[in-house]
Amino acid sequence: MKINKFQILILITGFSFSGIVYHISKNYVQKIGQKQFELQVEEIRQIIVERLHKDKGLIRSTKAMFESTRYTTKEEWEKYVRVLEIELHHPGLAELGFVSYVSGNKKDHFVKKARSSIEPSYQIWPMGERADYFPMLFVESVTKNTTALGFDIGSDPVLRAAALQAHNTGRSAMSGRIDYGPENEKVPAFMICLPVYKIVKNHEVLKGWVIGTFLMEDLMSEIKRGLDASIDVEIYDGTIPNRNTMMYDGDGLGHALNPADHSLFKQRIVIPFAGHNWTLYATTGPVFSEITNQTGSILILIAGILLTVLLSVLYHVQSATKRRAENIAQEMTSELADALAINEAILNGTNCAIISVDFTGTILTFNAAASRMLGYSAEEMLGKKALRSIHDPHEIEVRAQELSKELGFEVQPGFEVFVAKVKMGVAEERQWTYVRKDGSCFPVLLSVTSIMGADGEILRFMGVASDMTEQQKINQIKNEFISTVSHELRTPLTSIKGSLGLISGAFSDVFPEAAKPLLKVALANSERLVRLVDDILDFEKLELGKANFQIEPVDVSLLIREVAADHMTYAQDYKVSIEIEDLLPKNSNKVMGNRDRLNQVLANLISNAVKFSPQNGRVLVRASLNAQKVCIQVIDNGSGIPEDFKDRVFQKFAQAHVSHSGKTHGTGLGLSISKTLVEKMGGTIGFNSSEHGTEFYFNLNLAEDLNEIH
Amino acid sequence: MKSIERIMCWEDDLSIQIVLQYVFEMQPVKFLLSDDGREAVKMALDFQPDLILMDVMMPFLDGPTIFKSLQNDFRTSKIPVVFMTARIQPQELRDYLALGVKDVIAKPFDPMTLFAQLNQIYGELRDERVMSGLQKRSSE
Repeated sequence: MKINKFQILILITGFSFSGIVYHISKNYVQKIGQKQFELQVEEIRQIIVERLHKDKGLIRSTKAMFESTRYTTKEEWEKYVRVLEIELHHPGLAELGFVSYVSGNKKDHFVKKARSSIEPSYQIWPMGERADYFPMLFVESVTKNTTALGFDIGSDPVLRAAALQAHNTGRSAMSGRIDYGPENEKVPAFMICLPVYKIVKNHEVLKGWVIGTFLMEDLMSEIKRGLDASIDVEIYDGTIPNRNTMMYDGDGLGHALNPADHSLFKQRIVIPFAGHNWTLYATTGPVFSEITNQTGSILILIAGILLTVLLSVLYHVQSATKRRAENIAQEMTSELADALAINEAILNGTNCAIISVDFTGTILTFNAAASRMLGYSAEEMLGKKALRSIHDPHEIEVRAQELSKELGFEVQPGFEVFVAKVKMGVAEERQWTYVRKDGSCFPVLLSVTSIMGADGEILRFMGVASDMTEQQKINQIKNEFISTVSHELRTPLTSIKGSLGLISGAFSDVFPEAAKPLLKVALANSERLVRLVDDILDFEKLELGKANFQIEPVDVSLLIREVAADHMTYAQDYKVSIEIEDLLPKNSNKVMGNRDRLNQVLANLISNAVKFSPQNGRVLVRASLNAQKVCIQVIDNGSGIPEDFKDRVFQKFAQAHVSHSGKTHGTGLGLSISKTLVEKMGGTIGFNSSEHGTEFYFNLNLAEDLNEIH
Repeated sequence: MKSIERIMCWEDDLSIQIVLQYVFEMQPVKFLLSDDGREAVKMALDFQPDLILMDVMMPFLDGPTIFKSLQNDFRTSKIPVVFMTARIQPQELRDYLALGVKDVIAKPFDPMTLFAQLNQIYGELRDERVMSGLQKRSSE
């Protein structure tokens, strides 16, 4: 596939645009995601802080309970914690208890008192002598872990620090991470301590601490419930995340500890609470990434690329189609140019004047030959209604009258005379006189045709005129030649025929009997020679179109009788009878034709039939009506026309080989002349022949209006 | 019907002249044959023919010229003239008749019927004249 510059431009622009849109979309999605993430992390932080405050409130309430009584009994404690319904209202709280402050010298007294009022087996653990003790006096464990009772939290540095911090500040303090639970099942936890004081001699003396131990897992599970699970939360004790300070890891992957972590978004927040800091490390999990993923952007990018490629391909296809169309158009243009050039060459190379006009007679084409013939330039004629100026006005008048009579409506003597018949679908060719610019005249043979559009409507009329001046001169010379030859032939023939006629007529008595057959032959052949001359002249006239005759109704029944009668003597010479079968109705026995010419045709057919009939034969002349046509048949019972001659019967100078018949030769022009005459009278002529005889027939139209056929 | 008693004929072809001579000799008619029309008026005045038969193409003067000279003299203008010619194309026939000749006989003619043919023409012309004279008288 050949790629052009524009296609490359489309590709570059498309890819660049797609990339930019992808980038903007990606950034936008990322920013939205970031914002959404930050909002969710803040929400988590707030929930954690609220939860811690809530738990701090419980501890504070418990402190109030201890500060309100001098000595709290076991029953009071148990009643108190029962009312709290810790498991229900404080999920995550593993233990709620009270830790007494016991100085080293009062340890035994304390243990003794505890054993009597709390638990007979009460003892402080871990064992050992210390400067002071922070033993758990009351404890309500969610897990019902009773081992915590007596536990000296002061023995644990983390818890001791928290307890002392609480004491020092008088406010609640949160411990660092502690491991809570049985050995091997320890889980991260933390403790909140709130100091409890008693008034001794108007002085506040530390009584102990209310403590709450919280399991991070349970606390966070409770906190995370209802939050977006798409965010992973890790909580570290203090501000430095590491394995030892990790208190909670939502997905166990330790994102904060992994430098190569690829979470989409991550945020680290320090949560200060009760004198202690936690580090909240939040990262987006796979679900969040899915929510905020770049699928849309990638889809935009892919769509952009596909669209670009598609556009490029479309452009290529369109370009290829355009190129093909252009090539075809170029070829067609070239062909059209060739055709136009050929047309132009024909138009201007021909010796015929070609003039085309529109429906109003305005000249649209006026070729070079027209200019040469008429002396007008194309510029003088184009766009003008100037046909009258190049025609003989008298001829136009006469033709208008003729056409009006022929067509049955008035044809105006103007442009209409040239196109009236053409509009009716008849191409017209006739001789006109053209008038040159200088006023001189010359004859032309003008053919007028119509040029049709694709819808079959006439677009324009085209006249092709050939100068007949030379043709007329030639015809004149030819006529004179024929006339002269005719005269020169007829003159000796006159004396020969005259002499022979006189001998065989007036002087036959004195002529030797033995020589009479020879005289007969001489006379017959002189007559034949006369016929030949007559036929040649007749045929020449028909050929030249000069045999104009009037078409009029002719009583064909009468004509047949007359021609048959004329040939009776001739037929008797051949011992042949002529019969007539007139089947025409009385009111339908007239045909449109010329009486003399019909006589000529009929005489030719009858004389032929007689000539080729056997002795005692019969020639039947039948006239009948068939579909508004009169059919005249001349039937003989001769031996028929030889098969090899049938296709030449109507050719001029054609004669069948007649040696078998021994009949007198004709001129060979009779049937050819007959055919031309019948066709000129609007009829048809033909024949059927077999070995039993021959039938020549011709059909003519029933008599209608008068017409002149040229 | 009165027949021709005197007939004059111009024909340049000697053979045809001979045939014509035979034709007219067989008939009760006085005839004069000539091939030179230059003295046509004088000859016609001298001979006083009932009808003149005239070839069209002749060497000294052609038929139409002789005819015109006869027409131009009132003494000979009434003598009916019939052309006898081998040039019988329709236009030629029309031209001859337009000159004023009474009829045209085509060559070659039938010698046995020629005189009858001429008599027929002559007779019809006489009838026309008689009719015309009667009409004139009745109108007077």
